Amino acid sequence: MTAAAASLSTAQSARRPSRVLGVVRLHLVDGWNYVFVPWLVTGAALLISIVIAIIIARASGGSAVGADGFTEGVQFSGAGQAMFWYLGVIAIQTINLALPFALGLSVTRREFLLGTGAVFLGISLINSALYTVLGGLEELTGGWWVGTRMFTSLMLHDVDPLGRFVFFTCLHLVVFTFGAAMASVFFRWKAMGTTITIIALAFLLVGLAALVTFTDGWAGIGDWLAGSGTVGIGLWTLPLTALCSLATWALLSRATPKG
Amino acid sequence: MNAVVEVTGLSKRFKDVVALDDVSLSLHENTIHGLLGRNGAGKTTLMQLLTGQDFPPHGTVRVFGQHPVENAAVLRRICFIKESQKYPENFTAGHVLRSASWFYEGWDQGFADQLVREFRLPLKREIKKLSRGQLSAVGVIVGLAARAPLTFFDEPYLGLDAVARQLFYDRLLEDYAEHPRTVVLSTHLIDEVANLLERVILIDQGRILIDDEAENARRAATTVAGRADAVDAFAAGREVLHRSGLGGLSAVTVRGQLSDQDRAAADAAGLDLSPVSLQDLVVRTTSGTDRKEVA
Amino acid sequence: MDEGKPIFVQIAEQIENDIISGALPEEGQVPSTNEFAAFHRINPATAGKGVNRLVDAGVLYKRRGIGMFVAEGARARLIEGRRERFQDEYLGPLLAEAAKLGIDRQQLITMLEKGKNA
Repeated sequence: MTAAAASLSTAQSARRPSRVLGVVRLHLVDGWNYVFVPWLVTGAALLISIVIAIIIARASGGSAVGADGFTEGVQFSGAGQAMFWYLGVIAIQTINLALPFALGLSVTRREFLLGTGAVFLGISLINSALYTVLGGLEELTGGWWVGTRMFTSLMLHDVDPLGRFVFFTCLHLVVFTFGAAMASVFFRWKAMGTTITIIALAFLLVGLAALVTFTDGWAGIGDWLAGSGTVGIGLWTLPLTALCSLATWALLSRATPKG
Repeated sequence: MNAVVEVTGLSKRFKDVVALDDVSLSLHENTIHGLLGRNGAGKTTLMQLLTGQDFPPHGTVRVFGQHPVENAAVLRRICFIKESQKYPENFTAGHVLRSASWFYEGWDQGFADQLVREFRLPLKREIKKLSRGQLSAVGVIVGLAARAPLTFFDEPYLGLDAVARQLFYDRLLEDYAEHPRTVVLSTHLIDEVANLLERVILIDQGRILIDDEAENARRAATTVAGRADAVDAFAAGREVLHRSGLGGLSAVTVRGQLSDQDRAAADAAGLDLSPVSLQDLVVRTTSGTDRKEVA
Repeated sequence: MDEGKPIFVQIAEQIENDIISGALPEEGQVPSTNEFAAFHRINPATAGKGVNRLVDAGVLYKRRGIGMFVAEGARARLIEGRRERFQDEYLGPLLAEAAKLGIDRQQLITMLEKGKNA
């Protein structure tokens, strides 16, 4: 064994700070991305929902408020979505910029994916827990005292806290991994490859829709969706999450930072 | 001599361009190497392969005795500073330095702080708002303070002004003297770094032209000048790297060291012998012939 | 730093000059290799080569744990060596140049006399 290799193994046996942990810190060192802005977005969305509910209630002279205290018309509030779109963008940026940066710090792709995956999972769990708690508060205060729903809107109306937590977590994970997967396509195959992939995916979706139409399956799908319930739908996104994670790993394991 | 890097038969092509052509070399432990060559000669490709960022299709690469790709044990001892480094959105210079401190075991915060002061780097400013010089300074500071056993600088001083560059060379030498490590400087500014280098590797169009001690490389050629016919006579049978002429005079750069007899013969023929700087040697070895005839 | 001689040779000669001029006295300490390297802005290994050259020639010696020192009698030895080379390095070229320019022996002697008093 050469002297260089020998000194390398003695170095390995000494205790070293975890580099995967370093990757986690890397994502969080600038708190804005994963913590502040998403909640700023959520806070703003909530505020807007409240204001809209007030306006509707006033305008309708109170008649829009239903028996359960919640204003009609805001059951469909999509305000809760806002954060998810932002997190998707974050996932994309992570692959675009944080990955080449980490590679530049001599981090391996494996360490990066493990650390990033840990951050994704952690954020998903924490956010979902907070969303669940906020949903509970929403019910208790009768829609933030103005009858608006954000964390317990339409699909989540009848779901218990645990179900809501599971649903939110699944949603977080699929958004993160899908964003990461798409960004990995771009990282590996650049603009051309991404365009081709998007077109291929579009064809796939249209093809599936056509298949369902020709087999008169829409009713069946509708029944199945209703039957699964909100939580069930959430759980059905997990295979997609797994697929995206796998794709990300496969794409990046042979990717070179260019330029 | 310990070889921390051993490369044999390495070839790499991008579509129809041959980036590296059967490259074999070794990097010596605790030595400052100069990796010289023109743009597109293959320097960056080589460094990407040595640092595990790219994948070698042909040939072998051994860093610290192992394959570098996805090898954390090897990679944690390497620092690769390049001009085109991407940084996460909204990161400040301070964030970059902090991040680096988590991944390089030899990181010296005191040294980093000193360098930040000397290069006048605004730590709170976002990377995307830094001037070219400040951006280069970030890379240089990371490369120096990391004290990685194998450090590559891929033209990281392109944005630095002459004063900052000299500061970099001085700090590099000082720190290298106190904490020896293996350094590879890839550069165009050959004359500036010539005195820092112990070994010189010249790569041109994917092939290694020189891989030698700096001292030998420096003496690898001589310029012979004088009356054109005498010069031609002297140069006959020798490898000519470069020829230029003006009227009846001409100057020719010949490869190889001249013996005492050669020198005496040149003297007798009334020819002037002068040494060739490393920069000129590199330029003349990698470009073609240059004729300027004035009737 | 001129291009002609290897850098480590130039370093060695510079130290020799300092010894001859008395700037570096005998039995006195000489700057460390790293200090030379930093001062001249050259690689420490190169500076080390120059220093070692003088150690091999017996001009410098190492005191373990302390540093490099000028050997006793080094100055005298260096001067003697230089004197021996004076003929080849200075006189030879001078006479050749004089011959080229057609300056005869008498004119040379006159110039020398003048030069001494200048």
